[in-house]
Amino acid sequence: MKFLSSVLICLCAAFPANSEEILKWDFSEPEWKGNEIRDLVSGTVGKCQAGPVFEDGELVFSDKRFIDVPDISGENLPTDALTVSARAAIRKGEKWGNIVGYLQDNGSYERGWSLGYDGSNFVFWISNGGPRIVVNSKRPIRLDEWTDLTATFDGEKIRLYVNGALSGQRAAPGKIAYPEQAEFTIGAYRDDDEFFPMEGKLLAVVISDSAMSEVEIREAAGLPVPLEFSIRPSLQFLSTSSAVINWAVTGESESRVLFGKTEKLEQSTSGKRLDSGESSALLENLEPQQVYFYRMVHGSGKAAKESSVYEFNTALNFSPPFQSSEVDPTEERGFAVVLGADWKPIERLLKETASAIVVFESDAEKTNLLRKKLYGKGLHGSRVTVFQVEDFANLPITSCMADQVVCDSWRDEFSISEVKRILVPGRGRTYFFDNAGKKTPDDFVRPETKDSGSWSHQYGTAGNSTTSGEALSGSTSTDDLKVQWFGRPGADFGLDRQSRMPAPLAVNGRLFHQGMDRLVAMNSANGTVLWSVEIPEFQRLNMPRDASNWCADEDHLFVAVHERAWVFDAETGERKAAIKTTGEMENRNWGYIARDGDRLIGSTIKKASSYTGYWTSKMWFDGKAGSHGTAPVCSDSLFAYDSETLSPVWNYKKGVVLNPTISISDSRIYFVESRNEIAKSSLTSQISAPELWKDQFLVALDLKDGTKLWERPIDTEDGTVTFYMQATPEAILITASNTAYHFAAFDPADGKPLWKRSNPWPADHHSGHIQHPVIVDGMIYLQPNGYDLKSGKITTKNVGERSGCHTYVGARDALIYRGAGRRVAMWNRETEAVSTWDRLRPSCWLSFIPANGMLLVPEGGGGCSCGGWMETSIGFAPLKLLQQGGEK
Amino acid sequence: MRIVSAMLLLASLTGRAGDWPTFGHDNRRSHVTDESLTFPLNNSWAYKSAVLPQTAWTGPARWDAYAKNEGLQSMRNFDPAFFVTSVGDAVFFGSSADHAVHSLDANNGNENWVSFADGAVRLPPTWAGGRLYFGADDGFARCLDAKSGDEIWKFRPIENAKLIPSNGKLMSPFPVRTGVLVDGGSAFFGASLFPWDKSYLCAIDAKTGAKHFVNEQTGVTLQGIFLASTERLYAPQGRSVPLIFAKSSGSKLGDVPGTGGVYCILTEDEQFIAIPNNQKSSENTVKLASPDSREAILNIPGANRMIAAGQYLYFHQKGKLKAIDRAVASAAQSKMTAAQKKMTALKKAKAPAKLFEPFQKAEAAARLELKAADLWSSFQPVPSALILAGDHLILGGDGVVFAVDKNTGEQIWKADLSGRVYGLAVANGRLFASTDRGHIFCFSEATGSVR
Repeated sequence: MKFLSSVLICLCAAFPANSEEILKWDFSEPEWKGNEIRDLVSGTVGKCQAGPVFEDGELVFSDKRFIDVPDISGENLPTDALTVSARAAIRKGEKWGNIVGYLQDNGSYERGWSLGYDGSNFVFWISNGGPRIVVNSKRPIRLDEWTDLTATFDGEKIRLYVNGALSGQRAAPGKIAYPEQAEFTIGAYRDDDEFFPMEGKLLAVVISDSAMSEVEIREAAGLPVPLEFSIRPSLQFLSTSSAVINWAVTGESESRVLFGKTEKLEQSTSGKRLDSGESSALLENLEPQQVYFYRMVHGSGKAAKESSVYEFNTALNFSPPFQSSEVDPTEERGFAVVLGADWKPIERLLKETASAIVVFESDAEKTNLLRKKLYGKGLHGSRVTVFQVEDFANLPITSCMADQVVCDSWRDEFSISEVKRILVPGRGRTYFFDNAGKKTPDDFVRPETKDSGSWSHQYGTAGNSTTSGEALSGSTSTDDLKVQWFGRPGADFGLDRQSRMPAPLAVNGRLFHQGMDRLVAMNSANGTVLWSVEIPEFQRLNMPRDASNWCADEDHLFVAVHERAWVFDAETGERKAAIKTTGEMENRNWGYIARDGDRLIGSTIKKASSYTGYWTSKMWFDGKAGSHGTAPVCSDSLFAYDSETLSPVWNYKKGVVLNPTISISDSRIYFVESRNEIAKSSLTSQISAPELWKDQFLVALDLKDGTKLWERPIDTEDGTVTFYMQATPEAILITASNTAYHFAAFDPADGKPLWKRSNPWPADHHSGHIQHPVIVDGMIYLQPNGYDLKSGKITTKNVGERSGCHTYVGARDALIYRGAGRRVAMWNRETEAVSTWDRLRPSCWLSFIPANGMLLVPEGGGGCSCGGWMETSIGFAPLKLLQQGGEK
Repeated sequence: MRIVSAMLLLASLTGRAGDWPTFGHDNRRSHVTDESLTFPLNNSWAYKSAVLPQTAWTGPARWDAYAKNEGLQSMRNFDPAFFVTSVGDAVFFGSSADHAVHSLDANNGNENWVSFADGAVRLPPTWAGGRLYFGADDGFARCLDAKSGDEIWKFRPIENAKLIPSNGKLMSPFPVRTGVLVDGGSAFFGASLFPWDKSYLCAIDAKTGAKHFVNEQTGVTLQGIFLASTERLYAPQGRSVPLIFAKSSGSKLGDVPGTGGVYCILTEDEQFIAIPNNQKSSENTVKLASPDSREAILNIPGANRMIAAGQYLYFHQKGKLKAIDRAVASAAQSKMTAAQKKMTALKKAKAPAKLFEPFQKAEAAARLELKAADLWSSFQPVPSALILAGDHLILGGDGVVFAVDKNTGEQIWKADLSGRVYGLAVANGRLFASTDRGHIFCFSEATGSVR
C-alpha cells in the first residue's frame, strides 16, 4: 500500500483525536463489539444489523450489509467546510455507490453529501440547496485495490483526491444543505427511496469540519508538492516518433519529464530551459498507436515538485508518414504538383518541404523509371505519387487542391488553364525551376473564391450571427456540393459528440478544430494537417451557456488556456505568445476571447467555472430551467489588448457579464450584465442565482478604447435555459429561452427597444429549446420561422425541420442543419426545398461551418455508438467553384 | 440450409492444395487450410516496410460518454497490416504505404517484382489461374500476370472521377476496398465510399477484363473483403449491416441483420460469422447468423476472433481459447431463444408464475446443453488473428505468434516479434505473420537470416 493520508496514518497508530476531526472509524476486526462499532472521536455507535464479516481481519461489505449510525444527523455535520477520507477496496461498481454519506436523493430533492462511486469511477457530491454538485475521479476504479480517497469542500469547490493526487474538482459555492431527515450510512447508498449496498472492503473513515489543502493531502500521501505552472504544458509531435513538451513555472530549477506507456512512467528525459524562460523536453523513439503518460518534475529530493499525470496518444500524431526527425516540422505541408517527370523540382520539394508530391508525366517509360527510382529510395506512395496522363489539360485530380504547381521548364503540352484549375484559390502558387532559380509568373494564380467567408468565432462572426457571409458559390442544395477531401481527424480525435464543444473555425484557407484536449489546424482546401497540439485540461464545454475558448484572424489562432491566451502562428503552430488576463481581477481564468480590428478582447472568469464534465447524459447539457448545466458563465471584467503589440489597452468592470451575450459589430462591443449584488457576489462564474436576471443592463463600449458609448437598463424575459445576444448594424437581438423563445431587439445606436415577440419551442429536447438563431441578410431564422430583423415580422414558417441537436448555421443562400432522418440537411432560403446527406453525423451543437468557400465538416459525431456514421472529417466544395476552373 | 461446395469454390482459385491464394484462404474467408506445419518453426526472413500501413480509417471514438460505453470497437479496420497470399514459392501482398503489389520469393524474402497502382492497395491480391487480381484506392481493379507482374487488364466502373485528397494521398471517390473475389470466371469487387453518392458492384470477366455487369447502388458503402457462397456475394459495410447480392446478376438480395464489422466468415453451410456486431460494447460479441432466416444462431459475448471448421467452432473468449461443437451449441441456443421468447410473451401478457415454469425448465436444460457443447478451453493471450492449419490453430497477438493443438488447446509453439499480428497465412510449409508495423515475418522449418 503506497499511499496513506495523514488521518489514516493516524488510524494505524494510536488514533489521537484531532480538534478538526469529528468522526473517525477504524473498521478492523478488533474494534468491533458484536454488531457495534464506536467512532474514535465521540464514541458514536454504528451498527451492522446483519453482523460484520471479515477477511483477514478486514471488514467486508457483502450480502446487503451496511453500517447505520442513527445518532448522527445533519445538525451534527459540518456545513461550511468538510473533509471526508476513506480507505476502501471496491469489489463491484454500482450506478449508485456510497462508501459514506448522509443523503436524500429523491427526484429533484437532493440534499446532503456522499463519498462513493459509480459503475466506473469514484464520486463525491454535495448539495448546496440545489441539484447535487458532482465530481468524478479522472482515474477509474481499480476493483479490489485498496484506495485512499479524500474529498474536500471549502465553501467554493469540491475536490476529490485518489491516493493523494487531485483527481477532479468542481465549483460548489455556498454551504452544504442537509435533508431534514436521513440516515448516516456507511457501505450503502441509502435514502427514503433507494438502497444500493456496497460490495467491497473498508478499513477506515475520517470526517473533519475543515477542508484539507492539496499540499496537506499530497504531503500526507508522501507525494511531492504539486507543480504550479505559469504557462501550462502543451505537446506537439515533431515527427512520426518524436514530440516536444513545453511549459513554464516561476523560478529556475532543473526539470525533467517522466513518461512511459503506463502510469509508472518508466522513462525520463531532461528538460531544457529556453531563452523565453519556458522549459522544454524532447520525447524520442515513441511507438506508433500507443498511449503514453507523462508528468513534469522540477527540483529533486524533498524539494521536488511534480505535475499531475497527463497522457497523449501517438495515434493522434498527424506528422506525414515519411517525415524524419531531421525535417523541420514547420516546413510547408500540403500537396505539390509537379508537371513532368524531371528529378530536379522533385528533389527540391523533397528537401525544402514536407508536402505530398504528385507528379504527372505523359511518357510511359519516364513514368516507370521515376516510379522505380522513387521506390528504390523508399519514397513512392508515401511521399511521391506518379501518374501517367494522356492530356495535361485534363489532369485526373479535383480542382482547387494544389498548394504548389511546379515544373522544371514549361512544355507546350502543359496547360495554363489546367494549372489554374487545380490551384488552391488565393493560396496556391506556381513555380518554374530553371537555371535562374524559381520564379512565379503572375498569370499562374487562382484568385480567392468570390464571396467566401471566415468563421472566425463561435458563431461565425464576433457578432454571433451564426453565419460567415459564405456564399458557397450560390449552393442551395446538397447536390450542389461535392466531396473535395476527406480523412483525418477521425472519431478518435474527439471527446464525444454530446458535450456542446466550441465550434471549428476557418479563416484564410485554414480550418481549426478541437478534440479532446487537443486542436488541429488544417488546409481547408485539401485537408492537409498543418499542425496540431495537445493541451491537457484546456477543454471548455456547454457553449450554449458560455463563450468559446478560441478565435482566429488571418494569421493567428488565439486560444484561452486557463489563465492565459495562447497566440499561435496559424500556418506553423508556433506559439508566439501566452498573454495573461489583465486588469485588477486576480487569480482569474481567461473567459471570452475575440479578435476585431486591432484589438484582442478578453474577459475574466473565476477559476474552475467553465463547464468541463463530459461523462454521462447529464453532460449533454440539454436540460430545461434549473437542470444541470443551465447556469450561464459570466465574466467579472472585460479587457482589450492591442493585437499587434499585445499590450493591454483598456479594462471594464462593473457587473457580471453573461458570456453568451458578448457581441461585436461596427467597432463596438455589446453585452448584457447584471449589477445585482447577489449575482456579483457569486463565488463561481457559473451563476445559477435567480438574481442574475435582475438589475440587468445592455451596454455598448467603443472597442478601440473601451469608452462607454451608452447603457440601458433592460428587463427581458429571463434566459433560464439559454440567453443569447447577436449584434448587427441593423439591430441587437437578445433571444431568451425559458419555456419559449423570447426575442427582444434593440437599436445599436442607443439601445432603444425596437421590437419584441415570443414563439413556442419546436421541442423541449434535442436542442429544440436552446437553438441559436441565424441572422442572414437582415433575416432571423429560428425554427420554424424566419423573421425580419428590423420589424420582427414573420416572413416564413417553413424553415427546414430540425431533427437532432446541431444548431442551424447559415450560408448566403441556404441554412445547414441536422434534419429529417438525422441527416445533415440544406434548406434553400428561396425555394425552401430540403436536401440531405446520408449517414453524416455532426456533433450535438456546432461542428460544420460554411467558410473559406467550402462547407467544412470536421469530425464531431464520434462517440455516438449507434448508427452507421462516417466518423471522418470532410470538406465539401461547391460544384460551381470546381467547374469554374473547367473541371470536366 | 444452403450447402456450399467448398471444393467448387476452391477449384477456381487454388493451384496446389497447400497454397493460400486469397484473403482468408478461400472465398468464404474461412482462414482454414489443410496444410500442416511441423513445429517448431524458425523465422527464416522478414520484410520490413519503412512506412507503417496507412489505414483507410482512424480508430474509433474513445468512448460514448453519453451512454457510458467505453472501449468502442473499430468496425472498419480492414487494412491494419499487409495481409499476404501465397502460391507455390511466391508470396504476394499489397501496400497502403507504397501503392504497389509485391511478389516476394517465399524462400528468402527477395523481391521478385513490384507493380505500382495509382493509390493505396489495402487488401492482398487474389491468385487465380496464374493471375493476380486486386483493387486500389485509385478506383481500379487490376489483373496482373503472377509471374512477371505485368498488367493484363484494369477496369473501373466510372470514368473521369477526379481523384481527391485524403490523409496526404490522392484517391478516387469510388475506391476499390473490397478486394477482388474471383469465382466462376468472374472477378467481383465494389467501387464505393460515400453512402450519399453512387456505389458500383462489378463483375468482370476474369480473363479479358470485359464487363459482365456493373450494378449501381445507392445508400451503401462497400468496404472490407467480399465473401461468396455458391450463389451469393456478401459485402461488409463497416458500421452498417453486410449486404447480400446475387452472384449471377448483382441484384441485391438483402442483408445479414444484427451483424456488422469487417471480420466476416462464411461457414461451409453458409452461416455468417461477424465481429463486432456493433460498436457499442467494449466486449465484442461474435455473432453467428443465418442469412436465410435472418436470425442469430449463436451469440458469443466477450469473443474477438472465431473460425469454423466442419462441426467445430474455435474462438477466444474472456482469456480462453475454446473449441465447441457448433451443431450442439446452435441447437441449444435455438431452444434457449425459443423458451426466452415464450417467457417474454407471457410476461407481456402478465401470465401467472406457474405458466413460466415449463419454459424456465426448458431454458435451464438448454443452458446445460450449451455447456455440453464445450470441447476444451485453455488460457491463451488475446489474439488479433486466428487461423487453422491442419491440426493446429495459429494465433497472432501483440508481439507474439503461437500455435495450439486443435484437439487439446495445448500451446505447442511460440515466437516473439515486433508489433501486433493481424494477418496470418500458411502455405506450402510456411507461416506468414503480418503486423501493424508493416512487417511480414516468414516462419518455416528452414533456418535463415532475418532481413
